[in-house]
Amino acid sequence: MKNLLKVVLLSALLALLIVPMAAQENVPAPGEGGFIIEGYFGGSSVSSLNPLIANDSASNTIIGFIFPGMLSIDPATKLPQKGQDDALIIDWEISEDGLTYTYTMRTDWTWTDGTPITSADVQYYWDALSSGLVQGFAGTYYPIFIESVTTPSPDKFVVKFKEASCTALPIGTLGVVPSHVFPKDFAEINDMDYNQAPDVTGGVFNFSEFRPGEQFTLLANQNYGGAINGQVIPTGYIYLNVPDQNILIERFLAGDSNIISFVPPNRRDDVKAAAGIKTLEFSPGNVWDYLALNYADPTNPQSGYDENGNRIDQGHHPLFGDNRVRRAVALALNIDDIVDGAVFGYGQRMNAYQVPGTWGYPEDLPLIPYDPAAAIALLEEAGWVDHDNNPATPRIAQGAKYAPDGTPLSFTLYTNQGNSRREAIGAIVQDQLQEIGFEVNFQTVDFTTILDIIDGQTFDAFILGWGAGVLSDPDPTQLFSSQSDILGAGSNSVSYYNPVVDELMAKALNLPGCDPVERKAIYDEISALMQADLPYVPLYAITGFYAASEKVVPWTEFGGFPYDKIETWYVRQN
Amino acid sequence: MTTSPSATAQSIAQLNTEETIVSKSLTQRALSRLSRDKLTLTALAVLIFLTVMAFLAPVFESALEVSYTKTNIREKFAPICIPALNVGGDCNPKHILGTDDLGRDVFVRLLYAGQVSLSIGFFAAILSLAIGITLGVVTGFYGGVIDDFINWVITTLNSVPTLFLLLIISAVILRNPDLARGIFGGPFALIIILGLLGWTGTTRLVRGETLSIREREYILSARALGASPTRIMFVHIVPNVFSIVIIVLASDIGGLILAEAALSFLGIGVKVPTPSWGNMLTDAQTYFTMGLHLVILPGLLIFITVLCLFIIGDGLRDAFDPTSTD
Amino acid sequence: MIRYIARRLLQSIPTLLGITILSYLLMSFAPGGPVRALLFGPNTRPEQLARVAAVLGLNDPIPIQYLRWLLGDDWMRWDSDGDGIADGSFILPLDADGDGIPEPPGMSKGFLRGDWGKSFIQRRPVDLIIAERIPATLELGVASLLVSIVVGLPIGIYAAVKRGRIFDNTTRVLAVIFNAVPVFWLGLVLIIIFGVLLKDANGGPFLPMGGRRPPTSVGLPPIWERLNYLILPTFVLATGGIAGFSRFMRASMLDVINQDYMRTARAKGLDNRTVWFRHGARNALIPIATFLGPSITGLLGGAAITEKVFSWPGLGQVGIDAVLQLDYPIIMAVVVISAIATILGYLLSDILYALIDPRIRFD
Repeated sequence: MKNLLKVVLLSALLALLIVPMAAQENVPAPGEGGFIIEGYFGGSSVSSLNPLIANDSASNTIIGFIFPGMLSIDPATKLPQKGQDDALIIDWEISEDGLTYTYTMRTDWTWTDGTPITSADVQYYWDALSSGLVQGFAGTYYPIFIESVTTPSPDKFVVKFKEASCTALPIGTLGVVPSHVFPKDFAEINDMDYNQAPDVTGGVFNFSEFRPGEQFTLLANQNYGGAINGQVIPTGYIYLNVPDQNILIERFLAGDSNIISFVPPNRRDDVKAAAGIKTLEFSPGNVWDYLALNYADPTNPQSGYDENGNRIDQGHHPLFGDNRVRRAVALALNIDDIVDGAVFGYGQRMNAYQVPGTWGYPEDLPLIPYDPAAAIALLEEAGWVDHDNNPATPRIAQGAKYAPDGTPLSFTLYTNQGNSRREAIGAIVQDQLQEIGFEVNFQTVDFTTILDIIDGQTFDAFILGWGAGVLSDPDPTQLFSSQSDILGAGSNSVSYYNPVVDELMAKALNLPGCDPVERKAIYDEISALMQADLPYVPLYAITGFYAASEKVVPWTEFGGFPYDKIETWYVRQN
Repeated sequence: MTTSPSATAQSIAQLNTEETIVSKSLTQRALSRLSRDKLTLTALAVLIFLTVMAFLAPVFESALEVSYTKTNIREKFAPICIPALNVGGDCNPKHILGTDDLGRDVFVRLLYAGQVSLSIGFFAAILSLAIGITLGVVTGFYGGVIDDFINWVITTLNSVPTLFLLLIISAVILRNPDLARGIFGGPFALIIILGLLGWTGTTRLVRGETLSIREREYILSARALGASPTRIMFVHIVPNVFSIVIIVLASDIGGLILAEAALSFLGIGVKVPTPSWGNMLTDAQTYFTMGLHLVILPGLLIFITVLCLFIIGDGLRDAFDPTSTD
Repeated sequence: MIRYIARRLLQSIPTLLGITILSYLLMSFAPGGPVRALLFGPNTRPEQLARVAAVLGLNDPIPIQYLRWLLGDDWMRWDSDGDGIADGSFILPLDADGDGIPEPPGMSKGFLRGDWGKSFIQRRPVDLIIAERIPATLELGVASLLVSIVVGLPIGIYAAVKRGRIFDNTTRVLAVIFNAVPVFWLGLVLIIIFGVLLKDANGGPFLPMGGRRPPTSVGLPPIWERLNYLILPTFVLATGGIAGFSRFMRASMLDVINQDYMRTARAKGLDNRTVWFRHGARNALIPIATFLGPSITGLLGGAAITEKVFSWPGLGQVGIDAVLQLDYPIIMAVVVISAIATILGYLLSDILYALIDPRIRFD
């Protein structure tokens, strides 16, 4: 009897617990899960919703929703995976010489008008891009790498590359456009109505409305070929433009939007503390900042090679041409202070140029210590002396390697205006280098101007950042190979030249088989060499930070994947 | 008018003294009116106080042993700290008004920023006044093609919203590091830009006044006596239009300080690390949850300064208004 | 009258031309140019930069770029036999990069022939981008002009009537205060007060913190259903106007008060209200007409900042972004449009002036 009572009570209790839970977790019917509203800060310019033309991040976010994904990435390992539901490409084969990639596509995925998506759509995408008639910038990118695309069958396309490279796989996936509604004459693509109002698409959402300067509205596509269970739960997705960053955060906290993919570091504590908000922090985030020091003579800028491929003598920077001065700079900077001051602690220090959290990051390489005494010793050794025993005045050269005697230890440091993070780095660097006898003329200039200065290679030093995602390959050829030291465009604007590093980079990039473990061993070696050379003084990578209203469930679990399985999301009504 | 040269000379002398007497009495009346205008006087006192404080920045810097450039991350966002008034509690009394996002002293930083903002407002206003008076007198005096041309320039400039002109010109000059360095260094470039854009109103005002003055007898006589046009313009006309123009100076300075703040908000103002009230306010907006005083203080200083300048401008206008009665 | 208007419009042609030349020259002198920022990234190749610059026509000398903007380039390099390959050229070389292949024929017709070009950044026709934004800017501009007039004028009249009294002094000080507050700062403060601190019955913001309509609204609801979105931006944009109109009206009214006809009217024994409003205010309105032109320019300028703060999807925002990104075609269009608006505003001022004041004749 007693036991029976217990059982009854227990079951009653259980029922009490379970019933409301079950009621609460009642997933809405497909298309009735409410609007996912994301606020973004990115200016009001939007290029085009045509993937052949789009070139800004807002458009590309929308394109990611309304077009099928080409390659599936495992959020846990960050590596491409075969045979998944959420991408068109389910298999690929690479030829022996690494030049030919054969991709296999799903055959059961259709455009919204019912037409199957086939390799002809990829072919059209490539033909349009390589014709040079489409005014998008993608057309200036892919043809650099790709030689030709052929389609042996509706579910296969073959991409032939100009050179073998371990970064080729994602480039070769290209993209798809509904070729059956696109014009035969590629020049007509530029002025299609489709560019502003794409009516035939194939992604998780359909395009619904573009309100210039306000928002994009997308609605669930119940025929989405990549959906789990074939269902798309949310009603739709709204991408809300808020041109002021503070107001963006305030409006998110007030509930005007319910998810946000970038929160500036100085507002992250507020967002974390706010009621009804959940957050996700992860590494790597999307940007890493660095301090670049010029190797070459800034008064006579030269490319690394002449037209015939012979090295050009680029001269030496009077200060930074000497490795000891570069080391002194690195040792004199208290990077922990910089992380605290510039990104409010939401950053991870870097030991070289690989972002912590990516597979190329050399875990065993120690950080550069903060050691002002060693920095001073290095400066003394390099012939930079405190001639008047006055720490407030800059040191001068006395037997320095590349500077005539009497040259003050003084340089100009640029960063782009309007970025409070880099402005903070600049002020701290200026301050900390002054402690060991530098005079830093810190200037902020407009973004287009700083790019002009950097490309012209007339700078002493600058602070800037590079984007980095979870999918970034560790290959740094574009940044640090001497081949990229091209006046006017190349990204190796500091004129870093280390033949050993050049050779190792080429080896890792073209490694037969592209085995990540073997490649990583080479990149670890490169990192160690570059930490000694210091083309950049490594600073930090900002940690990633997403936030969402607790009403948005289940939301994403993976950094770098802000919309993971968005077709299952819904907004709780209460 | 047929008079002998000597008689003319005599009448000029007479007229000149008359002019002086009239203007003196006008000025005296204005001054006496001003001396009773408590609001204007208070505004003037506050403005002078702020200016003196701003230019004493180095003194405060050494007295308080703080620096407006020295960063100290461990002391960032320190609150306002005045132990004598029991404000702030357990805090560092060196930083009277606390510290900013990099631990720099806000008090001396505000003072240095004040130097920059006030100088921009003042010198840009002087520059636009100088251009405005010169062009106004020249066009009013000569008329004809010159007048038409300057008028066309004014109409053209006035037809584009100033903000866009400012943005475009700033984009050119401030973006160009070669121009932004050296003689155009920092705020100086902004002074030139703002000064070059602000003169049209003054020119119109002065031109109108010159038109009426040039027909007056003493100018006609001076002409008849063979005085050179330059002499007539600068000796006889300029002093007479000066009083009208000086009145607009105060409100001009105020407007220019606001313009600098607006440009900073849009990302083209005084460039950090040089502080100005405008860029301090813009920067601080990002941190308003961490240090509200960082937003309030520069905003308040801009507001108070501009308010004082506008009140002074108003007071001067009322005082010099010949139609107003005592 | 019509002849006068026609003459004024004719006169504005050189002004407009001057504005376009000035703007184009100024922009082109900005260092850097737009291309590098468009393609900024570690993988950018020099070939890409060159091709994009060629697509945007930025490799040509500045005078030719300007001519192309104004008059198009279909007459500079053309394809006479219709095979898609250029076979004749004027000013421009047929094969600019020396690779033996003629450059594509010119496609643009130029601003004067109604082709406003394409935005460098957005790659969309400029006239479309502008047309999308004008309604929002007009809405906000007209609203704040109305508020400025409706609030400003009565304050000015009443302050003049009660000269030296508390109302006069308070409004004078308020007017100065309104003028002395930086617009963006006022905007932020109001957003925090009415969006963050004050809540409505449902716990949402008391007033919308930005935008022009609810994000989930269908289409554009009629204006009376989204007045709450207009309140804050209109007020912020109108502050300068309220202050300006009230001050101007007060001064103008004070001028009128001392006129003979006012004394005559009073001497005739008319009651105060009739004197003030029939005789005084009407004549005092004359100078206000001249204030209209400049206030339109002021509104366009001020709108840019207000639009940014309140996420208002107007022309000002587009203009600022374009200047910061050196998007030449959009800058040119925005400059020309604001210039036309201003010229028309001044013309309207003068016509109003004539309509109100019978003494003025146009010749």
